[in-house]
Amino acid sequence: MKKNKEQLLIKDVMNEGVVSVHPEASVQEAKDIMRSRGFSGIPVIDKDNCLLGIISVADIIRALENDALEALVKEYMTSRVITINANASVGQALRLFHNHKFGRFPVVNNEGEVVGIVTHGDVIGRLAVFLGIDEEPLDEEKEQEPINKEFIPQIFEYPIRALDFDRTGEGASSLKKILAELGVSRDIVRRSAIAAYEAEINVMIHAREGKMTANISPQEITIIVEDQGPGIDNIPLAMRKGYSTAADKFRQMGFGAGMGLPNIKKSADKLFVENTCKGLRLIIKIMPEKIA
Amino acid sequence: MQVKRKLSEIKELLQATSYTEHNLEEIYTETVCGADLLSDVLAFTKEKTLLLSGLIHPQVIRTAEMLDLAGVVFVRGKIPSQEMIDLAKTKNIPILSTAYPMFESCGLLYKLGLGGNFLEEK
Repeated sequence: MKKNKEQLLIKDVMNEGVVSVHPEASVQEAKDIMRSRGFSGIPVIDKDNCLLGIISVADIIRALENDALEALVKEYMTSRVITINANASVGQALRLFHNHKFGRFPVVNNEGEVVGIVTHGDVIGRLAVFLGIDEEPLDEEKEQEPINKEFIPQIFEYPIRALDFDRTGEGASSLKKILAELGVSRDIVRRSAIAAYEAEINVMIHAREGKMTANISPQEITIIVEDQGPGIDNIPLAMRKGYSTAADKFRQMGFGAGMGLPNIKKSADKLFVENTCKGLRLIIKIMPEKIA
Repeated sequence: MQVKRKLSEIKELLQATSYTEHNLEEIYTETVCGADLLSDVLAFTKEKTLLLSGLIHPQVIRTAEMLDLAGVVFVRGKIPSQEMIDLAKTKNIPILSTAYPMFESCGLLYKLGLGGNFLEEK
């Protein structure tokens, strides 16, 4: 029996989709992620998937006491992190949980990259299944399907060639497909697709070229659309329904009715419109947790 | 009050031609939107709505794709190009064409019991 238990490895019980936060994010953002997901700590991972630390409730309280929610995560995180290897046994994990007060450990592969996270509950839960002592609670409603599945944050990039009218929308279409495949809820997929498509149409109408980038995580979808066009002289005016400077040929296609930016704003949780040295930049944020 | 109708029933009523290989017996809609202004369609149309349009270019299909519409009917006898048909197949959007103009098409579908987005919201 003991031998079998030893064979149950961390990689069998861990959660593969790691919800992490970037070291340059604000403590506020880390707090929001933790509150919405019900986590007491999340790993701090940079863009090279390098584990820099963990930010926990205790760290956030410290930031709150200093009135420093705008400070960077890297200033408040705990840098000394105890990790566990994916090939370690659950027995070793239980010992680790027993010896330290932490509720979760980042799981690393032999190269030191974070491949998952394991909680005390994961280990106990799997052991219960393993020992055949897990039972469904009686007369209790089953938990609802999660609105958003866990997945590893992804970056999507798409060059927009505005003069190719018939291909306009292909970026939004690809993004829509990716979101659906990741298991993002239907409503969020649809809102993201509409916002991305409207932004792509804007590039088609007003600029010659552009780029769409989307940072996709279970907590937030950020779509950035930058173009090389004339920008917007009066942004508040452009946000008004019905205001448009589109050429007739686009109006004949059914666009350019001055509904684009307002509709992006309606579809998004946050919209930032800014002129850059090259053209226009739209930053569209859609937060799946907001509707949960 | 509102009824669900199969696209196959709608095709028959509008004497329409279907251009994709969808089984229209299995696709339902309960709301219809008649518009040539895609900006409005994008801003106000809910999913699973059937779009009637006099516009005929690939962006009509892309609009239907983004909004998860039930399908598109091109009115007043407009025939989609092969390029549009290919796009509709790729994006899984049923497309049809009817000889009836917009007003008559809308009227026939309204009489069939189908509603719009606006009244339904009220």
